[in-house]
Amino acid sequence: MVTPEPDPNVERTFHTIQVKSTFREAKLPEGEILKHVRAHGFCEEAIFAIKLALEEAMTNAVKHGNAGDASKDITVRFAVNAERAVIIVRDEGVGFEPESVPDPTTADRLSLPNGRGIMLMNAYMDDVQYRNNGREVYLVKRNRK
Amino acid sequence: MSPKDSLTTSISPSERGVVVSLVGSASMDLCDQLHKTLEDACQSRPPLLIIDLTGLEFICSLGLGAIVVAYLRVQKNGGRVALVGPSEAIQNVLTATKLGNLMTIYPTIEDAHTGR
Repeated sequence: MVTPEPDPNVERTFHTIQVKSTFREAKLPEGEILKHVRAHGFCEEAIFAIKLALEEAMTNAVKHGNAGDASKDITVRFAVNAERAVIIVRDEGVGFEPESVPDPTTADRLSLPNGRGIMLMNAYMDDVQYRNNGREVYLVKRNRK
Repeated sequence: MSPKDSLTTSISPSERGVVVSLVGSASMDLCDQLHKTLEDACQSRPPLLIIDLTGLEFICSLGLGAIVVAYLRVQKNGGRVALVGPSEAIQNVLTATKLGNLMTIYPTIEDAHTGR
């Protein structure tokens, strides 16, 4: 029996991975997601972009969303097909307003150590949306063959 | 899941300061190691800190943050930081974040020494 691939257009069909809110655990879904992305023929540039955006989303979930509370969970849902990869990362925090995060590339903020995650996700993914008051980030990368 | 990323860091003296070489992936779970290495490299207050990115395949914002912290420490002591040999993928990250405006990027360590 062949298990049908999750459909990136139908969220209820997605793969789900839940991890605790530490950097070590937050790294775990990456391998599984990149395995699917490679299997569907995404180019190396797209793979780099997905890896980077996923790390930024997970870092934000650990540091800001769940505020370093390792007892909290991060839920990652994803679906990949030959056309696109969709990844949804949800934390258990209080949420935030993405519009309130300042641009880290302005001259006065360039030498700050933090604050580049959202900008990198926006720069590397085709679609980035925040849902559930910012507790959930929805990332899309299209496969340009 | 998948093979774990790895990051190898090394510190070596150079004619005008210190060279920190990064090989592998500066992923979120490995950036403490990067931060510690750069902190160690800054201890001697080098007039020139060269960060050799030739072998670096990936960097996230935490890794960029570690480099910015090192930059601030070196600059505070009157020194400068040079980035060397980024791959196209790493160069793109530096361009997107405009960190190339903060630190000069050189093709080789020799160029970083001469500042050309």
